[in-house]
Amino acid sequence: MAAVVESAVAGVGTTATPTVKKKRRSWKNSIAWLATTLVILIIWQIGVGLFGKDYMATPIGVITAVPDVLFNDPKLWPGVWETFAVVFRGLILSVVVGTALGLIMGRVTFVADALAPYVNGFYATPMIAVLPIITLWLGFNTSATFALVVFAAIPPMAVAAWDGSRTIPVRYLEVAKSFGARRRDVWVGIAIPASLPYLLAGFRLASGRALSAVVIAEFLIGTGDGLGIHIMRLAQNFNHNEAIVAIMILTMVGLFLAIGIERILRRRYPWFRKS
Amino acid sequence: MSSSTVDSPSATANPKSGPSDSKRAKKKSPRRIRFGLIVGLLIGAAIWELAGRFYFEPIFFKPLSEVILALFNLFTSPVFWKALTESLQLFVAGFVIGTFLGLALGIVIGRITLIGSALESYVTVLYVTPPIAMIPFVLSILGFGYWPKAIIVSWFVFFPVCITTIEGVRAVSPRLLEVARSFGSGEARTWKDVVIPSTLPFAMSGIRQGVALGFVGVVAAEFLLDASGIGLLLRTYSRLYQTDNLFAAVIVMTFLGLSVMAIGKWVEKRFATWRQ
Repeated sequence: MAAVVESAVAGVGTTATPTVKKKRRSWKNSIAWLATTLVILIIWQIGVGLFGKDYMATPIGVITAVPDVLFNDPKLWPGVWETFAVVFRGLILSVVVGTALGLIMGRVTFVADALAPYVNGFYATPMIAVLPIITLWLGFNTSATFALVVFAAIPPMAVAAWDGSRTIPVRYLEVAKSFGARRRDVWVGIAIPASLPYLLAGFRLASGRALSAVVIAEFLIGTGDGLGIHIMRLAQNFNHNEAIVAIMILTMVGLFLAIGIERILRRRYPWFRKS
Repeated sequence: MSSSTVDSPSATANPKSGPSDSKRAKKKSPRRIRFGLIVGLLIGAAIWELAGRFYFEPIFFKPLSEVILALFNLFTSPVFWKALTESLQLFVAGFVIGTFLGLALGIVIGRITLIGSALESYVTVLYVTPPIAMIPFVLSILGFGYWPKAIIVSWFVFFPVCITTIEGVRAVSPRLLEVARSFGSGEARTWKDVVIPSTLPFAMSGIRQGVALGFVGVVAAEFLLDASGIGLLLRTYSRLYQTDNLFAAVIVMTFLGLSVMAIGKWVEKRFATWRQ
């Protein structure tokens, strides 16, 4: 916030034609972006050629592998489907349960005190450490993966909703009360919208953890045909180029969950404060 | 714009950014007794004990009393302490490397805007990729041993530190920079006296996330690469179906995680007061 103000202040005296200058700068920036990218790719390509082993991924190798992996790999798309079905089901459950838990914790101090050690404890436990227990209970299958995703994603959602509902402006609640709002209206009309920015930040953390969880679970469980295990097999069979293309799919979903959803929501609800 | 969308996981970390008339204003006295906490812990303990005793098969679930017993045995066994030292050593090595590289590259990206915009987009892309996905590559290129694990841990630590450092460098007050420049300060002096001191508080929130992620990285590396430390212990217990020891080890991990987070928060708070 302060940075924005300061840069605005700094920008006042500097130029008379800000639009032209901005345009030229962005043009220069994209040239610089392209040049830097090229340099990185060339260093990578030559570096692997000189010092690396011949199975290691190179930019040219990755690019030539793209059509091969996307169109000719019979295991890729079923794997993508299997993995992200688990992620999305897990995230939906975690958002519902985590938000409900967090909102109740924010409104009822007694519940917050009672549940805080569990929420914080589950949050702090590395999910890999829990996986042996989960596989002990559920076996080495997709339901164990699903359980790990939920385990990973509920705590950040709960903490975010808890933080959010604690910071509801008292004024809103008083106005609601003096206009005779029912309890349900306070929840739906005030508590949830007011904590939306927090929920969004929580969702971003939760989705990152869910992606990590699904990959960890597939790596360690080692059965099934998900994207994670597909990446593992490609990398272990020294098909690094193909493995990187598969990872890129993971990255794109990660980017969508981290940034895309927030963009969409911000357009829909412009009153969100910038954090 | 694009950078700020990446950073705000820290939004959950400072909920004080809300409006001033928030509910926190009428905080109760700091020393209130948390009956809820006691009741919650007691109910949890009772469920755990009873479920373990009467409901579950003993191979799947052990009652709390037996887990506590296993915890005592763990604390008295030299195997556990050796494993713990191994894990901590790995953590420190990876954390130091990751933090150092994250700070260095973050300052470069934030300060040299021309290269920065390109590098930053790659840092962002790698940041949202689950770091676990890098493990098979490290495994097949570097094989087993200590350093592959340390590289994985530093990979976990690097990205949050780097991204918050970029934010911090961008937020350096331009007025301070102008004053430094007009008094004839060279680039090196400017970095030492202006850029680095005002970036550090921001970087601290990244380091806090890095501490937590590095801890996850240690367990991941020890599980999936050369098995050692606490990761090996967990693996052994789960393969031998020593459920009580397994639960005890997970509890140790929980408390380690909690203390790691608490240390990170404390450090961040100390530097946050410096920010003003």
